[in-house]
Amino acid sequence: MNAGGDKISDVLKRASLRAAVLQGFSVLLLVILIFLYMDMSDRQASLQNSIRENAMWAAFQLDREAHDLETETRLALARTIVEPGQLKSLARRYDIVYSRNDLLSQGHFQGFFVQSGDLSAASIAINQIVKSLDRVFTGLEASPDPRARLDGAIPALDALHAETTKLVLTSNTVISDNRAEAREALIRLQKTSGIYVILLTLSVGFLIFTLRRQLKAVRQAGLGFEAMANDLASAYHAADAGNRAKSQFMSTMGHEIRTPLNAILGTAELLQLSNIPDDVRDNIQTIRSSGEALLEVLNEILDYSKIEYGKLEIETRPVNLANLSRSVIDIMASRAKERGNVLMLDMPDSLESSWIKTDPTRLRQILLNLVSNATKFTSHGTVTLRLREFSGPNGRQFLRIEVQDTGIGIDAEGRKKLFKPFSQVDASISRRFGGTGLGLTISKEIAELLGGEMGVESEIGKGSTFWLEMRVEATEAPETAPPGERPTGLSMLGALKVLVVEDNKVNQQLALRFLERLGQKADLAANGAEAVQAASATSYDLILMDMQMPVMNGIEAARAIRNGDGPNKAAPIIAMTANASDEDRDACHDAGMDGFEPKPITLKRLHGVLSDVAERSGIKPAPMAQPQAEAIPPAGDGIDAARKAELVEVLGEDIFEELVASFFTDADALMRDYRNACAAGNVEEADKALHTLKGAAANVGFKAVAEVAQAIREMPEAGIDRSDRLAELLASYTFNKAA
Amino acid sequence: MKILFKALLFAGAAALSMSASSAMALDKPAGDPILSITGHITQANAGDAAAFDLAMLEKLDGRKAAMETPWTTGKTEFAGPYLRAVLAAAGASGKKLIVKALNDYASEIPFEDAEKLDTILAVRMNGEEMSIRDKGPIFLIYPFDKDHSLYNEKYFSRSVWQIKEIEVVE
Repeated sequence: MNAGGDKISDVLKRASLRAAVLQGFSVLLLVILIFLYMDMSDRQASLQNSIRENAMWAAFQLDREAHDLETETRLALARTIVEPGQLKSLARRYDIVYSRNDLLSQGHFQGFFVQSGDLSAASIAINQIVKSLDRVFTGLEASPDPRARLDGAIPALDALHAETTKLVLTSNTVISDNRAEAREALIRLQKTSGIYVILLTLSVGFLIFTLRRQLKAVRQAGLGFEAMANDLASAYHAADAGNRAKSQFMSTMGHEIRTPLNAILGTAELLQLSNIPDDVRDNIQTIRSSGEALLEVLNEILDYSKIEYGKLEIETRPVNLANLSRSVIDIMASRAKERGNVLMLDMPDSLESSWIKTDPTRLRQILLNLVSNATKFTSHGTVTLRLREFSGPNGRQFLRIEVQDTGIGIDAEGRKKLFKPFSQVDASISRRFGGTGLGLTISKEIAELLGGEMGVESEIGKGSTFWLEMRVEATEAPETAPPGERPTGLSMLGALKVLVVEDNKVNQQLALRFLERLGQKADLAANGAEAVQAASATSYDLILMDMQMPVMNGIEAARAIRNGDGPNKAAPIIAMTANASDEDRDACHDAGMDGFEPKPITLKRLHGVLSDVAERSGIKPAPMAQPQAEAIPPAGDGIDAARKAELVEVLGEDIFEELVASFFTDADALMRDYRNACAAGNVEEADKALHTLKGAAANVGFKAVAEVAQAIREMPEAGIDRSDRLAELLASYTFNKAA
Repeated sequence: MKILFKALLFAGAAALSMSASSAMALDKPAGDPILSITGHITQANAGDAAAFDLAMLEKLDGRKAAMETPWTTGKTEFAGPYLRAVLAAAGASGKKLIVKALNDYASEIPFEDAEKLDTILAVRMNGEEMSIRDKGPIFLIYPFDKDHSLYNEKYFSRSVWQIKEIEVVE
């Protein structure tokens, strides 16, 4: 690449040198052409001037007429009697000589006859003689003695003839000279013209030659540039690929770390609830708070990598700011309390019922970050979340959100570094308070994505005010408020005690998350046997029962509970299954179950089930709802967009991604089970694996996988391994996910 | 179109003048004859020749124009009948004309110089009759004023002065 660059610069240098020479030659060519043209036009002018009556001929005619006059005069004198006719003829001859002489002094001949001394002298002499002869020939006929007159004229006529002869000879000489000179001039002109033409030819030849070289150089340079561009493009692609790989790595690592971390935190929480000594409980609390801090750091890094990768997406929905702000205050309340801070929400009443279009998840993230920072850096003070609406230029509506604290404050130097990645106000801060220093960077990036601006005003020792200003667009309230924003009606009914019986990890998580979202506490049983055991010990308001499970299936478990003597003999048991056949429903009824919910269960239907149970003290069979998911056709990529949206809405994108990740882990295991079962000829096991896969896939919205799994189940010769299609599908999702 | 029209007009005019002249025989000159047209003519009035005096010539259709010539100094005005009018009056037809001068200088000119060019037989220079000393009595003048391309040696040699006779050759 470097060598190529040198080559190009050399080529260009040579080309520009050649271009200079080329220009020089072009100028030279132009000058030559001008000279040539001037020469030509000179010649043209001289040719034009040379148009004249033949002077030699005029001289010769004069000489001839003078001779004739002299001869005729002598002939007349030779006769004894001069006849009047002869006299008249002589007079006419003289007139002709006179007119011929006159001609010599006329405009166009004069120039010729005065050009040499001899010519001039001759023409003057001739003129004098002719004029003097006028006395003789004018009135010759009428004169008393013409003979005497003529006699006296003879010497003058001789002299005239002599002079005209001299004029002819001199004219001849002068004309010859002129002709020779003209020829020389012509030859000279032709020579110079020839030289010019040679120069012209050379110049044009050189021009052509140089132009060719120039074109070649330009082409070469073009090729060089193209090669360079290609090099650059591939270098860019390499760099980009590196960057992608890095982001991919960060994202994968983040997920990989987060999953076990969640397990650690969950276990720690469970441990805390058990009966343990206080000092151990404190230690576990340390584990939990450290783990939560680690989780926060991880989330920030993940967000940052997404921002850097340009993958952070904004989804706008109608949002009620009042609810959103209150949820932030709720979430942060306990943390604020830990540090002895008062958390205040300052908001005009007008915001209560107004809805705007924005991304609630991302806006909440910013507010959480700002309030979290404020509580972190304030001790025994006040943190205020303040919302104001105002009109900007052109009547646009703007929203200003402030988070004001009475904490330590930030100096000017620190404020400059505040929004830069991985920077904190100073090193001591990170030692004292921890954190990645990414939170504000991420918030600022998100604010910009939302079309807003972020800034800070602060004074050391007095506190800081972080503000966010963004344009907002008012919108209609959605017909049914999204679940995330819905005031939880269920909580008014009080928490129910729910037992979830489910073997699949993904489904377990999902059910627990949904219930948690709906404000419920739930216990978990991994199979029928565990469920029977749990049901014999605790009284439940509702049992959600999966159908196909290892050890003991749902039908058997339900029958055991109904037939047993436990506290749940009459508790509502709702079946949850992906099997929607009438046989299954009958089997459920036969086993004494009260309802039937097709998988995947949605938040709305779960809400319905719970409110039914809560509102009616009596036990009524739940309506046999048709699977709602069928109403929404899957998107072209086989992903149920509505399901995905719901999951993301309820669980948040990160948890959804975890769900998906654990689905793939499960799917791998299930595929393995299916293949092994097929190989062993165990039709039942194979079907079970497919069934579980179908349920798990439907749960996370992979509708295509669920459909294919079901289709395979329904095919004849169930024992044949048909895992290829499934594996292909799963691989395509994995690929999509990676991309 | 325009040229064709002109040609037709010219042909018509020529035919008209010819029939007119053939109808009225050429009168004998009352004054001194200064020009005789000989050769292939139909309107002889002096033996085989058609003789013209100054008055006869000046009666014919002609033109008056000022121009520069190699034989005069400055712009000079020439006036006289068109050569074609003189030839028509003499009933001349042929291919060429031999124009002869008093000193027996002669020049051959194509007949069409009379037809296509406005050549005149000038009898007056600057309004005056021309004496022999002034290249008179008759000077064949090409229309140098109308067409500068005529201003060259070829037409200079055809510009005969001191004309006494024009011989029409078949």
